[in-house]
Amino acid sequence: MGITIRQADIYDIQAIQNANLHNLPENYLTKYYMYHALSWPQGSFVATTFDEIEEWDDEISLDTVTVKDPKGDTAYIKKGEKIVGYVLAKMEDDPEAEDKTPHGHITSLSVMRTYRRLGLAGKLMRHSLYALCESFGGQYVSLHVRKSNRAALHLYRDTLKFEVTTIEKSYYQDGEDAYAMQKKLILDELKPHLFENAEVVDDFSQDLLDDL
Amino acid sequence: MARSITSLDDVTANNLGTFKKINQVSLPTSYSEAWYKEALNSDQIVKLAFFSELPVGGVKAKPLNLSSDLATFDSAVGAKLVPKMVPNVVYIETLAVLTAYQNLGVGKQLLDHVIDQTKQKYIHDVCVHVHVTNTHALEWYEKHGFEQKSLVKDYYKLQGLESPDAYLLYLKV
Amino acid sequence: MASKRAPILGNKEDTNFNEALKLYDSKQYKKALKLVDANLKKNSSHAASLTLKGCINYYIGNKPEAESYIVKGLTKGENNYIVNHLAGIYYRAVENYTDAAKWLKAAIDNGSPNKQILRDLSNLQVHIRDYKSLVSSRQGYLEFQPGYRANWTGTAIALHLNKNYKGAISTLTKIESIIKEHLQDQDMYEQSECLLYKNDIIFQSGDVQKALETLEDDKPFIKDMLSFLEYKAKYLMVLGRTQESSIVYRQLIQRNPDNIEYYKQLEICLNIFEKPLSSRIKLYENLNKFYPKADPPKYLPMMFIPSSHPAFKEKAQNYILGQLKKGVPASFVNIKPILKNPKKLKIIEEIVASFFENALSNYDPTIKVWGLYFLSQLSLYQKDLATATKYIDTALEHSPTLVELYILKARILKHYKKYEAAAQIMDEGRQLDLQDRFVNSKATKYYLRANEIDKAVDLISLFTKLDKDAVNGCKDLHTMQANWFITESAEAYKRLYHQYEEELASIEKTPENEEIIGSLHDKIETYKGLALKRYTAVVKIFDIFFNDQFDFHFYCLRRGTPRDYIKTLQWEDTIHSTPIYVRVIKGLSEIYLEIYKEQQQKKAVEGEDDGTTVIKKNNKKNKKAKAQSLKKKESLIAKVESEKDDADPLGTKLLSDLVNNAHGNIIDNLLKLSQPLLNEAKDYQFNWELSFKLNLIKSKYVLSLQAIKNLNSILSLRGRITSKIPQIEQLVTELGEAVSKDESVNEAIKKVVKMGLSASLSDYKEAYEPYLN
Repeated sequence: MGITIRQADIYDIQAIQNANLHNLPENYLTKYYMYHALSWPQGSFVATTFDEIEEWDDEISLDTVTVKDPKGDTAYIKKGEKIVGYVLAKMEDDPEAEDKTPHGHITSLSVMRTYRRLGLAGKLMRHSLYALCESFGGQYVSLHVRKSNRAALHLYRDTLKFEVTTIEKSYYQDGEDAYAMQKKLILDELKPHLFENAEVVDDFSQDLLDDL
Repeated sequence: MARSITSLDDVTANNLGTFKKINQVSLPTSYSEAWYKEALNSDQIVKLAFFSELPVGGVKAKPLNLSSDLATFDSAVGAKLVPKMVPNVVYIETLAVLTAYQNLGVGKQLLDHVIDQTKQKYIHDVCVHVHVTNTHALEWYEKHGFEQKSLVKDYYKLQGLESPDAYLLYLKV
Repeated sequence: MASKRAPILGNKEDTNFNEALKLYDSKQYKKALKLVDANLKKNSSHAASLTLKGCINYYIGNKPEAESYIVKGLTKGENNYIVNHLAGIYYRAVENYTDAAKWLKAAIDNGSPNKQILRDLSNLQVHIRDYKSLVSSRQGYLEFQPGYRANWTGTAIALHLNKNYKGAISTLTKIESIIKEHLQDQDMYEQSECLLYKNDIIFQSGDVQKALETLEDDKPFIKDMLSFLEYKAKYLMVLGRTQESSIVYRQLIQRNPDNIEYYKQLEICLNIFEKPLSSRIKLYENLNKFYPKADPPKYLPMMFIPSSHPAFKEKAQNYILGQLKKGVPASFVNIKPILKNPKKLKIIEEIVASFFENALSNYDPTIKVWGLYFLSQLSLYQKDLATATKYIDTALEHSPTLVELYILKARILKHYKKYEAAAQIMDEGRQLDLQDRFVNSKATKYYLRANEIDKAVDLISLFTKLDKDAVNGCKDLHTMQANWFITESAEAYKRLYHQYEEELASIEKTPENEEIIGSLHDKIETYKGLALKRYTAVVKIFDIFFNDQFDFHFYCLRRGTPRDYIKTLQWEDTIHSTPIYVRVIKGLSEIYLEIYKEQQQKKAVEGEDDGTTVIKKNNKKNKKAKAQSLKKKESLIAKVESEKDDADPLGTKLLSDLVNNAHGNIIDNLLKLSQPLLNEAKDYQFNWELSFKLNLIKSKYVLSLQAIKNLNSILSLRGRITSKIPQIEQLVTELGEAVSKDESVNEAIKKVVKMGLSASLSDYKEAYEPYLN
């Protein structure tokens, strides 16, 4: 039913791994996803959809409902719910890292091709950046992007206001260069609802069942 | 998305199939694998055009010397700039836009790119062959300043096209 | 690892042993072995030396011999804590966690002074879910090292896992007060997580009011404000303070307006179901004003507004046309759940069709192609393949560079069962964008569906790591746990050998056909073996998933993430309910049951002439052919090998072991294989269907009956559907017939089955009564 974005948890990691294997050439073992989920549980997010939600529609009678087992598809977490996008994020934890200021790193981000143009990647990223800043005190966040990946570059640079810091030669296994990008994190500027561009903001005093 | 509705982008090994597809469905002539591979060379003027992020057009042109043999389709397609020769014309090999996306300024954008590149190479002429029966293309090129220079007899003979002649058109830039 | 202080040493052997142990600890296995061997020469029943020899053997790669020394050592020195400890280490290394825990526990009980054992022991105990014993190990270790917060957290977790909420809370509270003064910046995340953990336990213990108060008190220390708000909203709701709770849900929606869950909860807080529909519509209109880019405020009204209400059409129109105009590929799949209501489907069809006829010329050409894409999917959804094809072909002609169209075209062809053509179209789409792995994966999958396995592997290998001397990415895909690919491969191999079996059945068994028959037998065996091999690979990957938690038993205590750690234990406990795993067991069970059936048939015709062996013998005569087939086999192995130096790359042994009952009866093996599903995936019909079948074969009628009952509960939506279900009727009949036919069954069992049927399946009286009276 439409798309839900929420924090990822351990129950999601197999389907995240599946999305990653379907979409990207850089893959990781389940244990590495566990490591993310158990080290920085607030940092990663998923976009999911639901196939079935009869209880919302009173007009659907029980007689027409056929009971089926969940689809044996690796995208599904459980019956009816599947993952169509994710962002996997962490804090820098390399003791050798030069910069000791706490900062985050985006390990992986992808959205299934058939769910593009809904702005999911941007929303997933914003939630992750907010969490890295709020829960872990991340002062900036860094990531790598393939030089040839125009769509991703557009997302990071134009939509999310990352800046290219360097070009890392042959960063990827296949020899392609990467742009190393960074964004400074300021909590008040990252609040997700700011990006709704709404004319009215909920101040929690209005009666929602009446005209505003 | 903040990107403008039409835009150009490079042809790469990864989207070469798209460039090929556009030519296949838009042009009566076909091109060899080697020709498509050549599109990745840096001396070529090659671009894909996008409309609302969808690839809908493409151009491939190359700098030549006017002495090159452009008498037939095969010789024109195979023509290469001989080393030491000074390039003095940019020859448009293909310029195609999907039918459903014509008259939206896509072709113009591709042509502008060719003209731009021509100027950057300090070349003053652009030329192109157009099939005699293709009045639509003839009108389009003339609208954009091209002039008919000559009729090339049997230009498309080996391609098995009906009325195999072509016009050679020129544009001064 | 072993104790530095060994037991009192009385003789030369013990001195030698002590020296050997030191060498072993510093990984000087060869030297250690020399000393141990010298010891055993003098005293062949020196228990500690025997055990150490086992451990050394394991680490120098002499694995098959290792265990016998461990066992010998244990028989001679069962009460020797050094022997116990070494045995524990050995069993942990071979991933036999139950025995490892048993012997480490024995080491402690037999007086080992090495307290570090408690830490290793508690990791093992939690791993095997021996929560009862865990508590004393964790407490023991905490007493030994109380200076680390991790050990307090560990003890609290142990108590919590035993539902000793009070103990867990007081342990956490105690360390909080001890550590308060000493907290530094880098401890604050752990502090926040531990406070939230404690809070959750207070809530679970039932004292919601206390949980809420503590939460508010601890607020300044909490870094995870999302959890803070979620806890608070939940507590207020449980306490019946719905007005306050609704405000917190609004705050949560403001943090994340794309999470549907918050809207559901908000509705409950606002008691929306008691209010007129217009209020509910108004609610979402207001929320949409606050969050114009979020999906739920637009989506949910389409679900709850009845089709007859004019607002439905308006909302649906805005939603669908809005997405079409933006060129959202998912515009159709997004509304799929709404289409379950046939009246709404009709309205949506009209909306899009009328937009197409009237307004299209006002928009740019991409809108047309996305519209055609939508309409094609809508026709496919209604199983009108011809119309779906018409729309998609028009779209392809219009925009032949749009990859999504090829994906849909291929899907339609798949519905026509034209698998090869579907794969080719998908591949055509793939070639438009070689950088996109998604469409590569789709093309791979479609080639597998068309049983073109080589082509599929070649395609997917464009995106895998190519190991040295590998001809393709097959090994890498196994290493990277690409379960979707491995499962699809298994299914492709299965279809292939079924195909060859059909071919074989249709061939006349004459001498002229010998060669063909022989090669068909070879193919069937090869592909059946490979199917088993692939399915089994997924089962093994799930074993890895389960053991992956091992390192986290200690890591999470140190890291300070107890909440997600607890969740991880629960997740691991139900990991076999993952949909792909059930699919794999289903596939495997079908092969097992086929083999079982063949075994039964073979038994029935035992003694009759068996054509296959003769043919195989004949084949052997032809040396050249044999060499050729060997070469072919080698190149096949290179292509399909799933791990380096695999002793059974084609699954030949897997298959022959099953056929020959090498590891016991095949049905028993299948029961064992499907057992985790019965415990963890209780909501799957498949599990109970399988359980029914297997138990019927084993004449375990009471268990078969239990399976029917569970299945009935699922199919009737826990009793909400009251009409008779044909499948249940069928199974009840089968059970009745089997019980009545079985002369060996004892009367008491018959009675139990009959009583069970009449107690819970009395609607199906007519089905079982003829057999049981």
